[in-house]
Amino acid sequence: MKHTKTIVMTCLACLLATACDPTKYAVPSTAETKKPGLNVNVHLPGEENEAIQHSFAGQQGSNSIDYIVDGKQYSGEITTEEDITTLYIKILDFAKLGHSVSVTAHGDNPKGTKTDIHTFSSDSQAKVATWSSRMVRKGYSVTIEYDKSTHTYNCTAFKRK
Amino acid sequence: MKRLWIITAGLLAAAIVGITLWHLLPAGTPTPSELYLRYEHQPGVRMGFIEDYRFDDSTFADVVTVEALDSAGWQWMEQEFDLQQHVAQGMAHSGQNGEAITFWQCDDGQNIAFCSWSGRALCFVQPRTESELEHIIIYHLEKLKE
Repeated sequence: MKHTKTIVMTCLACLLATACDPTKYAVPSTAETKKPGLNVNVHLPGEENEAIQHSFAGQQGSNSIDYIVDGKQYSGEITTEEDITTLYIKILDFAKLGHSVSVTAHGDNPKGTKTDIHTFSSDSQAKVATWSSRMVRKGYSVTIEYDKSTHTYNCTAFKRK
Repeated sequence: MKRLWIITAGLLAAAIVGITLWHLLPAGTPTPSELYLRYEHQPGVRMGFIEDYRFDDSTFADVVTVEALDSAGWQWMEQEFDLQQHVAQGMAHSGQNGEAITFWQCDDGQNIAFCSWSGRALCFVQPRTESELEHIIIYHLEKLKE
């Protein structure tokens, strides 16, 4: 019976130790997500649109990027996260100007992350608010800029996975 | 001896119920006032708390503001609130054609953070409904036009 008591107490201790283990509830790092490449499809925006799809990988390490604007091919290197942001903004700007854009990346992206990006433009505050609140509740970070020349709100929602 | 078994079984049951509840119950969401108290004495930033701020005729909510007083304060804010994670894309956009604002839902699932990069300021609001959130966003949209 002494042994039974010891076993029961050990089980209880293990159970409590498991419940109190702080590492058990640690949030996994997004850097752990590995993606082999980068693909961006850009839809040309209309008056009010929900364009630009997503999928974008790469962080650290060296990756070569090919992107095609109106059929003409360009290439570049991504070595830092800032490069990725710069390239993405460039791609979005091309698309907003009405160009056709596609992007392909090469490399193993050793610590790659994936980012989803959506855009929305409208001069209606109600429509912008509805779209933005929906995206925020879905876990996206939303940036809104007001273009005084066109009286339009340009919204970008992005989420890293 | 029978009593020992009953006590042991009771303890085990209590442990299992406790662990189950720990998993099922959501983590407590800090209210804006609790956020204010948490960072009230942080050097390099100025905290503000406005009770029942009027966003429009039908929308009132408590607001906490965090404003950087110097670059060290801003650096702390970037780290504490993970601003690079939330605003990296938005920062690249901001300032191209005018002022921009970025907002996101905090990890607690309730508070919404609004960040103005040019003002080096953050504010936290806890909307009660989706409609209230939309009204608060419209309030900020109006501010962008000014």
